Amino acid sequence: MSRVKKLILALSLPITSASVFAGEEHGLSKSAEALFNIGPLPVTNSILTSWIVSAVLILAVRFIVGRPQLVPSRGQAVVENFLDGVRNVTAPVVGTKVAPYVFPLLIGFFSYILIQNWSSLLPGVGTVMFKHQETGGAWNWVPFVRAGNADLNGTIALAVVGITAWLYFILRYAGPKLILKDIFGNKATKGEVPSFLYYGLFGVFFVIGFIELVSMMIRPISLSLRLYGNAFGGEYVIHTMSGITRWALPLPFYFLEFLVGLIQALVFTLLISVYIGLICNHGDGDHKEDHDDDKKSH
Amino acid sequence: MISLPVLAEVTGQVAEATAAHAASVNPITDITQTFGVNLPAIIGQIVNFAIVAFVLWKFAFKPVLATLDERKKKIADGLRYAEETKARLDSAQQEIADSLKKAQIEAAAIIEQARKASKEVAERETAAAAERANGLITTALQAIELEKHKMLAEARTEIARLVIATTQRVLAQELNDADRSRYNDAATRELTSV
Repeated sequence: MSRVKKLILALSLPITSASVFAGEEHGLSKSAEALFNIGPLPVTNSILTSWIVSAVLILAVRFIVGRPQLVPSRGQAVVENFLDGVRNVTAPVVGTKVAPYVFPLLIGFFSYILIQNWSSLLPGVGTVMFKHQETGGAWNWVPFVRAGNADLNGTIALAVVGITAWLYFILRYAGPKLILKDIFGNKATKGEVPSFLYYGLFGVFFVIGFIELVSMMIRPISLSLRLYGNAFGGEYVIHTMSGITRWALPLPFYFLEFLVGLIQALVFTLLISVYIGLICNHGDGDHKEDHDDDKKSH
Repeated sequence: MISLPVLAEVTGQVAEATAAHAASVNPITDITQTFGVNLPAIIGQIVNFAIVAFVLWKFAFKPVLATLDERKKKIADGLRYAEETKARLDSAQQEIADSLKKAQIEAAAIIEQARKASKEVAERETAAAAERANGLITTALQAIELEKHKMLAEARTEIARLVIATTQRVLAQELNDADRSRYNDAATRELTSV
């Protein structure tokens, strides 16, 4: 059997299982289903998946890295390249001053979101079903495991952490005075515009500051909904394609979701970096572009 | 075709139904119910992420980054050391070349000096030897001259004696002292003039 055929067969296994278990006429629920409760915490299929994937991620990285050596093993070299790559992308955005302090959070976001996104591509995630009795008494098939980011609670949690960390970092490394100046201050340079226009712009920028505040308040919503929308949408597409036919049709969407998972992890991480960099990264020429990127992201 | 009163009635009913629905269901509640958003799950996921991020950073990423930075530092130090060593090597090679050049110049000067000195010594010695030889020759010539004079004197004396003896025999007569002396002087005078 050729390699291509083997690959197609391997990737079709989860599709087949999806069709076997989910062949009935139910769709993918927008919300995660509670499996059991631990005290007040309802453990949903998404939470369970995120726990399992998180544990696997920790163990895998520890296993791959082992005890870091000056002459690295192959696994260590892979992890080093991964870390160095993320650091090289985010450090210029947040600024060299705060980069060492922010990096632990950013690498945490990137690796966690990436692995949670890709977990939806694993065989069984979203496809292994069990019968669950709804509150109305009706029985329904629900997935036993569901990708962590395909649950809005998970992405809201990430956004809350991101925004809280953003608030901490800008207060810690920029200070309230600089924050207020950055939001409400006049961005025009006195020598470059006529005096009457320069002083008039104070009022304009003060009003714009309030719009900026609104955009800041929208950030956690946009962060969480963007990630959830992409993760849930991807899973829904694969689920739907698997329902149409068991073979081949879902295959391109697996590759698409592979890319989407990577891009969304990068987008989330970079947006948090940009938010921090917009306030903390003063003194370099990229400040204006960062502002523009921020507005585009909304 | 639908008549206008019917259309108006339907529109009114739709508007009433929409208003009633909007009044009965809070949109935020609707969204949270639809997507299953609840605070305990959010807090649970926050804790989950915090634990994962902390453990990964503390026990995996931080040591790896420390090793990475240490390696970068070592490589930078190594490169800097190599540069310094290369500069030192270049400097040492330049010094060696200068020293060699200087030594060559000094050696050439020494050789020239030695050559000059040896030439002077040779000339001086040659001159001295020639002088000594000339002295010896002069002395030898003087000695020869003296010897010659002495020999000549002895020869004259002997010849004179022989002349006398011969003459005595020829003449077969005895000469008295006065005659002998006269003949000797005469012979000597004659020989001296030869």
